[in-house]
Amino acid sequence: MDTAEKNLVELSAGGDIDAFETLIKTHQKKVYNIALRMTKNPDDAQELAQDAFVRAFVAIKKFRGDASFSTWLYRITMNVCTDFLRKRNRAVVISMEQGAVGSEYENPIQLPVEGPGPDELTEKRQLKQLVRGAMDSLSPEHRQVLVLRELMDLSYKDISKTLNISEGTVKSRINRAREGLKQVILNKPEHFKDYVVKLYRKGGDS
Amino acid sequence: MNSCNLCLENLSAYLDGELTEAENQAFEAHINACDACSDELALMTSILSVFDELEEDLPEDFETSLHDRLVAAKEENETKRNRVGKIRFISQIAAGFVLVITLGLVIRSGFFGVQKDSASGMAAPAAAPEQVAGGAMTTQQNNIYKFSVGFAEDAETAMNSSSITEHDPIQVDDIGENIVDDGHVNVDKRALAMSFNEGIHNSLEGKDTLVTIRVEDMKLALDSIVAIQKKLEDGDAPNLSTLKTVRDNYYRGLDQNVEISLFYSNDVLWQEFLSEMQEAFPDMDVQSVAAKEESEHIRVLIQTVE
Repeated sequence: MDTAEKNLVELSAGGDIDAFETLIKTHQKKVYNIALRMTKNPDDAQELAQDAFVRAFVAIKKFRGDASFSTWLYRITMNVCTDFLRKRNRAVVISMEQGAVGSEYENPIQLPVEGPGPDELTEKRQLKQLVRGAMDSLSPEHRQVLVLRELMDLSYKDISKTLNISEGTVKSRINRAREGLKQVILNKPEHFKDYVVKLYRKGGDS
Repeated sequence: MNSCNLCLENLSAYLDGELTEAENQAFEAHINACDACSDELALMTSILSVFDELEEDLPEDFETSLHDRLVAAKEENETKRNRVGKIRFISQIAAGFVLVITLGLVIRSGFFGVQKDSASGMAAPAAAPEQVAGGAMTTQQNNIYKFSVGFAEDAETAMNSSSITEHDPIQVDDIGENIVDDGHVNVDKRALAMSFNEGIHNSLEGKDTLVTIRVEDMKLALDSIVAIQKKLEDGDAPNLSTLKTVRDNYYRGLDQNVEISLFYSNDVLWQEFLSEMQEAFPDMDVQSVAAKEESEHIRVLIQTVE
């Protein structure tokens, strides 16, 4: 933690809202996107991201600076999101291998909208939509670990600290989550497979 | 494990640059020789390449509405802080009671050698934990599993009992120095009662509060703690889920002593929880120990005594 950040943390701990807002400025978008991928809904995401910031503001005097501020903040965000998901899906049965089984997770994957032409931009957009749909169909714990890795770009070590699990568990969970992601993409409507295969063959040739 | 399985297991770690140099070399050697694994790598790379672009912009009113909420939270926090003094006073009285009860026990069981019959099926803490044999306690220590607040970990525990092996058994060293002294349970109740308030105070300064209770009926104890958590004003739901997971595991026959880590973002809840615990388990030990993580937790260690 650099001196400026440390200073802001101290001021925030004393109740200085301006200092806290400066401190979180660069993290707002990330926190919102964590919440968005976890909840799959922009309104819930805004509410929960703000919950996380309020919680961080109230608890900041307990932040000791051993880990980075962002790791601490992401962890609070994750706790807020998982708490929310639990409340919403008390009855959902989660299966380790199959992702989640339950009403919320039975949403069919959105088929990519056929674009105006086969140009690369359209393909990229379709793939993006495809991955987002597949991501949303994963279990919360797999979504969570992928959000931390892919969106937050955290190292395994930082993910391990954020989720309070061992690095070995992080490694196997990420692998399982990505495998799940791939299976969802490949096993759903058949043309997804051709789509993905086509794309990566193209990438391989260039 | 054949080399393809090993390769697929390391695929993510390879893409994330998390393999050791030796693992990296072995991985690349296999990829160069194996078309199937090479295709897997290419496929995964193409899927992951779009993640960078998934990020979306903040809603327009995000910052202004957040500002309003921060102002409200600050005001609320200042109001609640006034209540904390009151709770602290009450807890001092509670600690005083513990001291009196404890001295009573010491006099009865120590001075006059009165043996308390521990076979009564009370859920309350064992009346005379001083009698617990050190050897038995050490064995139990090895069976302690850790449950913590992180959702994913709870979820895994809940959904697959075999995943319990992912939880490292806490080594005696990890928590033992404060509870176990030469294999004997620390019985200095007087000092513990005195440290009750200190424990609360230190909770604000990077210390975990370690609460140890010894019970005959683990189920009833877990039910009581769940009830306490439910009772707390604005009870912290992740804590409740953690507690329920622990309780469910116990019900399912994972018959262990347990340590539960609870996180309270709010000092008032933290102290209310401790006060309620003190009321339900007057014999509990409260200690202030170095925090295990960057945020402070209340760690409740429940031990069964026969």
